[in-house]
Amino acid sequence: MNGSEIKLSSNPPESDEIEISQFGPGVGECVVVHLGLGDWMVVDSCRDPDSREPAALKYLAEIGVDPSEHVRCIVATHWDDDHIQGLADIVRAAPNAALAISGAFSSTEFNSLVGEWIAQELYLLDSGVDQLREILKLRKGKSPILASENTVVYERRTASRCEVRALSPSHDGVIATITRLSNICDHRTARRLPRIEKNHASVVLSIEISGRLILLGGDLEVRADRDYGWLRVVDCHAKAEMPKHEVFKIPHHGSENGDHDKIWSDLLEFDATAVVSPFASGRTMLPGEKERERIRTRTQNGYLTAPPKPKRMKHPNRMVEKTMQEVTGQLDQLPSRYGHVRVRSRISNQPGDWTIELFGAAEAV
Amino acid sequence: MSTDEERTDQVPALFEQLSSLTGVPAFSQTKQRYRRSYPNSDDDWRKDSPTSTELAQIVGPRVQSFQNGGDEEVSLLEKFEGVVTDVNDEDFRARFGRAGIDDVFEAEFLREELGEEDNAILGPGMGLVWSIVRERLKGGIRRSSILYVRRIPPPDREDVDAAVSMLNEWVGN
Repeated sequence: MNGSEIKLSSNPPESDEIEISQFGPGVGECVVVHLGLGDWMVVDSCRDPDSREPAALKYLAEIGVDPSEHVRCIVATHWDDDHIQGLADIVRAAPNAALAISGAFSSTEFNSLVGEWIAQELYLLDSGVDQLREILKLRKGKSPILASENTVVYERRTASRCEVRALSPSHDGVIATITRLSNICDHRTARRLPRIEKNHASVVLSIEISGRLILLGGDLEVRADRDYGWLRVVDCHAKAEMPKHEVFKIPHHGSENGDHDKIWSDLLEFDATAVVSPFASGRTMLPGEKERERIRTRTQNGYLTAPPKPKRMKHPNRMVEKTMQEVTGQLDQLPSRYGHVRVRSRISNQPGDWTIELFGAAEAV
Repeated sequence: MSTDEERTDQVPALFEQLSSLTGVPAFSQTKQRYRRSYPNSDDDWRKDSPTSTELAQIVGPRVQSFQNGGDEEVSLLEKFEGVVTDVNDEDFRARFGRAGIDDVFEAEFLREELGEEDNAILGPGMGLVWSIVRERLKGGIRRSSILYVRRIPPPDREDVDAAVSMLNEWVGN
């Protein structure tokens, strides 16, 4: 199945229809979830390359959903620059939605480190810290939900019950992140928080809608230490004897350090529907063929929002473009490719009965 | 066909005509001084006839200087602001543009593109400015790429404390 033709589907889901829409432009990703009954949730944010507006807002507008009325919850799984571009715009558009951020912010030590970066207002580049600063202003007086292991981020206690629960970060994961953050280059000279590798404070979400389960993997990685990372999530899930998930948002762009046998055997149904967003930056192109092959061994229902192919930068002034090409080794436009995978199922459907639609550059793994 | 003497006599007249058309002086001082020293003696003139090099100096009209019409000029064609994302021993990578506002792109540079002082402090997160300029020189046009690390003073301790306090208050610590 291939979404190479440019098509847009503007029909919203039915009231009793679950939807998971994942957008991935090669820089960042965003997941928009219809929780049923017209309730929506937005997880992370990236920008539509054409309009430059947040992909979630553009999509909701296309299907006629007013975010101020229907977005119930916004979750920032981690503050990586690429994963929350435009999040402040979403928060502004949905002032009544609950906002959930990593439980790492419950640590004063973590906040002391992040606060150093927030204080630098001199260099706006739509970075994670810039977005956080903006959100702080928008939500002054309205505390966020600090999502950590077993935190209920959103709950709907109606006939069509819904619960969104965080499965990470664990306490040890927060400690590991603080250690990592404090070792990053001197904030006094750097002007943007560098990408935090090995993000152990990332939020993983388990969404249950009338017994149907969806797992959004955030950016969590596998660690040898079972006190944090994916093995911690697996252990807790097994201990609680939780049912398995039908749909999986693959973490970390399908890379090996976000993958483990136990995730697929203990947390997911057989042949679960899995969606992955690419990462295309520098010499790193994920998921590469090796990663795609590994995903294919895990499930036959894997989908990619866009292939991780770089796109050569062009400039309208040929003299400028020529000079840029002469001086640089690589010169890549971001985002490289952009696509949208949409997964829908009526709440009453049998588990595993999902309709898959591919838009833009999306394709099967 | 005229003799050498006749041609020599014709040359000044020819260049006088050219001079009147172009407005450029036709004879160098060397020529004028030379002929005045031999007003009547043809033999002496022939004996001391100028070499081809001297003739080239004497009889050529003064060419109008190219520099007279153009001033040097520098034009800024484009300026990008970005952030260093990765640094290696020989090269580094940076991202430019503000998502949602500009076109965002990444570029890889050799570290030699930066000066020694910038190289010494280069690291992920550093601000970077990349200018593409066009220079009009006396001899032609030159394109240049200028890359440097942006230096911004660090925030005050008070600003940091205020930001940390605001963050803690917001999350309910």
